[in-house]
Amino acid sequence: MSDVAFYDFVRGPFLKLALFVFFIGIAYRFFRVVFLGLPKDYAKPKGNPYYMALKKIVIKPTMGWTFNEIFSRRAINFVGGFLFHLGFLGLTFLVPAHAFLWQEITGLPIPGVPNIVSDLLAYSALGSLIALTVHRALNPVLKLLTGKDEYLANFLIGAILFTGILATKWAGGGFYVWVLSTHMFLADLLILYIPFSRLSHFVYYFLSVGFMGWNAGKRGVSF
Amino acid sequence: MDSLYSIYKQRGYTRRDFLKSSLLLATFLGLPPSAFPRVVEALELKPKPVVIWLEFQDCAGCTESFIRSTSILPSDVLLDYISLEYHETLMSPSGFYAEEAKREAIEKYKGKYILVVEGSLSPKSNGVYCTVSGKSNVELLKETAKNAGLIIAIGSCASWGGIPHAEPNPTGAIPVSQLLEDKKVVNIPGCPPIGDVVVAVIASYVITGKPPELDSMGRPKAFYGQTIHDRCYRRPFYNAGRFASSFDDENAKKGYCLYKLGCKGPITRNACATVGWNGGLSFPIRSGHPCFGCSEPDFWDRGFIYSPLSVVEGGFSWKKALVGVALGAVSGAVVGAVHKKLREGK
Amino acid sequence: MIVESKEDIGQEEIQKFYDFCKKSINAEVASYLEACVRCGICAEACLFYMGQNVSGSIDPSLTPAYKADLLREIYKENYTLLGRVKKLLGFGVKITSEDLREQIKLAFYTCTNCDRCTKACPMGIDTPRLVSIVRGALTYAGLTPKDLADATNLSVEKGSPLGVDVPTFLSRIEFISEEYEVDLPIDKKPSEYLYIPSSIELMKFPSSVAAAGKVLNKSGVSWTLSTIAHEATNFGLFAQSKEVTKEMLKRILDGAKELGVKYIIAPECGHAYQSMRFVAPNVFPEEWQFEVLNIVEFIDRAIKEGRLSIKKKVLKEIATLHDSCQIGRRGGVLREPRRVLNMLAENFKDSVVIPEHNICCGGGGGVLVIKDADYYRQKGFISKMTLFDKVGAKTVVCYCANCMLALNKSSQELNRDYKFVSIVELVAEAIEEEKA
Repeated sequence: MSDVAFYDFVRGPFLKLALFVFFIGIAYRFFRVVFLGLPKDYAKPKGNPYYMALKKIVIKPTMGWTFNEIFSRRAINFVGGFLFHLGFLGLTFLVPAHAFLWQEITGLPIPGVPNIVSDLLAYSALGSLIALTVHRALNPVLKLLTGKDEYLANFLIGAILFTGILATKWAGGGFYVWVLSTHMFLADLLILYIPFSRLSHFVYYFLSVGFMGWNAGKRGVSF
Repeated sequence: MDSLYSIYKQRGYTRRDFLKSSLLLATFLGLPPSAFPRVVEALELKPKPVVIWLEFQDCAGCTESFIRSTSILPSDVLLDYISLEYHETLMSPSGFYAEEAKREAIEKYKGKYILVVEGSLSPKSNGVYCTVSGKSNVELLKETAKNAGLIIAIGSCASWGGIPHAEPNPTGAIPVSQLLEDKKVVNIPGCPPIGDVVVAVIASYVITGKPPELDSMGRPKAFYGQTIHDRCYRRPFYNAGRFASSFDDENAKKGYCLYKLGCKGPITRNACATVGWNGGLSFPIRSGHPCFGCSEPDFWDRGFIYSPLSVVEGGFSWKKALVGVALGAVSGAVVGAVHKKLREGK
Repeated sequence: MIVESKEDIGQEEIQKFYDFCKKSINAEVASYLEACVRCGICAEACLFYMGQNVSGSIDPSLTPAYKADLLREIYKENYTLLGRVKKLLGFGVKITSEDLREQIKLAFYTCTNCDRCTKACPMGIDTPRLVSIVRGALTYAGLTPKDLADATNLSVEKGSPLGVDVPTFLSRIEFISEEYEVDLPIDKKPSEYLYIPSSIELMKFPSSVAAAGKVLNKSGVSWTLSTIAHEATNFGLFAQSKEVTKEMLKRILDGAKELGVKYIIAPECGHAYQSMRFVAPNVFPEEWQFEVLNIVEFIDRAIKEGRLSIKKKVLKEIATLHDSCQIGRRGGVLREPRRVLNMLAENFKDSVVIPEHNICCGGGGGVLVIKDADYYRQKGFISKMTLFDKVGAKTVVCYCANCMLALNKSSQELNRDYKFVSIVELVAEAIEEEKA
C-alpha cells in the first residue's frame, strides 16, 4: 500500500467508523447508567443540592489537594494529572490542524495556537504521562488497583503524543506521510477504544460528581 | 549525430553559455562539484538523445509544460537537442509518414532511444477507447517499449492513471507501469510535471547512461524525495499558527499559510517549492492558491480541494454526530430500563 | 429478623452475597462504580491506611477503592455489554470463601463509613455507599461478624445493644436524676421536643444524660423522654439489615407519635442522627414528619434565640475539637459545635483548617464493637493522634459518645494520656450562674 493510500484510508472510512462508534458508544454508556433509575429521597435537604451539584461539577471538581497530607504525598498525581489533562485537551482542540477538524464537525469557529504553545503542551503532557505511568507501576496502592486497561490506554495516548510531536518536528523526506498517517491511525484507534474502556470516565464525571455534590448539598456540608 | 555542444556552437552561443547550462543541469541533478567535468565531457561528446513520445489518454498538458522548460536550456536549443523522432502534437508530418518515421526510429536506434509516454492506457474492451491508425493503445505501447533504452511515464495520468482513472473510470484507465510490469519505468508525476524536471531526467540518462535514483514508486528521488510542506516558504506561518481563512482576505494578502484553504502540501511529493514553474517564477502557493496534490495518486478522487487536510474525508458534520448520539442514547436507555425492570422484578 | 453470623462459608452464602449485590444497583451506585479511574488518592485519606503508614508498613488492600472492587466486578458482569460477553466466555467472577472473608475484613473491620475518601476522590465517588451495599450483602448471606450480630440481635430483642430494656431504662433514669439532681421527665404530655438518649450514654456516660437534661430544662422548652422510644442507636445501619433498621426506627416513630411531639432531639451519637435525620424519612415517607435536631444543633439554635446563654469559659487548657463523622461531615453539623466551643473554651485550637477534613475516631460503624478490628482501630488512632499533637492539645472535646468511647479505649490501649470530654457536659456547666 502506498503511503498516500494508507493516509486516505485512515482519514476517510476508518476515521468515520471511529467517530460513529465513539458517539454511539459514549451516549450508550451514559444513558445506560442514567436510566437505571434512582429511588426518591424523602429527607429534607439541609443545604441546596442542585446548587452544590452544579458547583462541584463546574468549579470544584477535585478537592483532594486541599488535604495537606494528601497533597504532600501525592503531589505528582495532582500536578501531573493537571498538566496531562490540560496538555492533551489543549492539543486535541487547539492545534490548528485539529481545530479545523472540530470546526468542520461542530460548525463553531475554533482558534488555533502557534507551534510554541502546542510544543509546550505536548512535552508537558508526554512527560507527565510517562512519570505517572512509572508511578502507577511502582506505588503499591496503584499496583493493586491497576489492570491491563490502564496500561494499554496510557501507552496508546503516549504513542499518539509522541508521533504527533515527531510529525511536527519531522523535516525533509517523503517519510513524513507515513509518520503523519501513523499518528492519525493511532488517534483513530484511541477514538474507537474510548467507549470500551475506563477512558469514558469523562461522561461519568458529570454523573458521579453531580451525585456527590447533591449529597453534600443534602447534608449541608461543603467541599 | 550532434552533441549538445555542437548545437550550441551552431546557434552562435559561446562556450561560456554552454558551461553555464551544463552547470545548471549538474546542480539540478544534485551532482557534487567534482562531477562537473564529467558532465561537461558527456554533453560535449555524447550524441544527442533520441526521443519517441507517445500520447494516449492525455490532454497534451505535459507536452505544453515540457516545451516551456527554458531555465536549463535556451528555448531554441531545447527541441533541437532532443531528437524528437515522433511526437503527435509537435511533429510536422502526419498520417502514414508519421507512423513510418516512428517505425524507422525504433529500428535504427534500437536499445538506445528514450520512450516518453504521456496519458493513461486503456486496455478495456481490447483497447477500443484509444486507438491510432486502427491499432490499440496497448499494442502500440508494447511494440514501442520493446526496444526502448529508457521508459519515462510523464505526468500523473501515465504514472498513476490520473484524471481518466478517476471515478467511475469508464475506460478502465491504468498507468504505464501497470501495463509494462516487467520493465523499469521512471514515473515523473504531476498535472502537469515541471518541464525542467523532465529535461533534467533525460539529460541525466545521457550523462550517466542510466536513469536517476528512483524511490519505491518509481519517482526520481532528487525531485520527488520531499514534500511541498518541507520546502514551502510559508512554513514559518504554519508553525506560528497563522492561516488565511478565505481567498484574498487580510491574512491571505499577508502571505499566510494556506492550510486552512485546503493545501495538500504536507502529503504531496514534488519539486514545485524548490524548482518552481516557468523558470522558477512561481508555484501555486506563491500565487495564493493552495496545492491540491496533483502529483500524488488519486488526487482527483481525494476531492475536497478547498477543505483542510485534517478533516474527515467525505465530511462528518454535527448532524451525523447527533445521529450517533441519539442511537446510543436510545439503546442505552432501553438497556438501562430493562435492567431496572429486572432488578425490581426480583 | 435475626442477624446471623455463620462460621462456614459455602456456595449458598456466596450465591446470596452475589444476588444481593446484583440487586442493589441503581443509577447512583452504577455511576460510582463506573467512575473510578484508579487513582488511589482515596487511600491517602483513609485513616486505617494512614495508620499503617505511620507504623512504617503499607497495606494497599486498605484502599477504599479496593473495598468496592468485588461489587464492581459483579456489576460489570451483569449490567455491561463487555462484562456479559466475558461471563459467557467463561471469564466471569469467581468468588471463593477466602474472598468473602476478605470482604468481611474490608467492610466491617476497616471501614467506619466516615466519608473522608469521598471528599478526597477526584470523581466524587461515595465509597461508604458502596461499602454499605457490601455490608448488606454479607448480612444477607448471614456473615455479619459475631460481635456485631450479637449486639444487633440484643437491640432487637431487648431494645438496646447493651441490653437496656424498659425496666433498666427507667431505673437508670431514676438513678441519674437523683445522682445529678436534674429533672428528667418521662412520657410527659404535651411536649414539643422528644429527647432520646443512647444506651452508651445511659450506661457509660450518665453525666452526659444529666447534662442534656439540664440544658433542655434551662432552655425552657417543653420536652420529654419516652419509654417506647428510649434507644437512639440503630444497629441495623451497621449491619445494613433493612428489617432491623425499620424495626428500631419504628419504635422511635411509635413513641414520638404517641407523645405528639414536633421535634426529635438526637443525642450525642453519630448513627442516631444519621438514621433519624436522613434514613427515617425514606423508611416511613408519609409518617415521619418530625424535625430532627442534633443536641448540639439545638444548643446552637437556643443560644441564637436567646434561650440559653453561656456564662463562663469552663475550659482553661488547650482544647481541640473532634468531629463525629456521622454528625459532622455526613450530617452538616460542623459550624455549630465550633461556635459553641469558642464560647466555652479559653484556648480552643481547631486541629483542621477545613472542618470537613477531620479524621474519624476509628470506632464508628460498629468497628468498636468488633474485637477482631481492634488492631485496625488502634492503628487508625495513631493517625488521629497526630492532629491532637499538631495543636498541642491533651483535652479533646467530642459530641458523640461512641467517639468518646472509641477514643478513650484506643488511647488507653496505646498508653496515651488524652482526655475526652463531652460538649454537652461543658455547656451544662457553663450555663450555670457563677456561684457566689
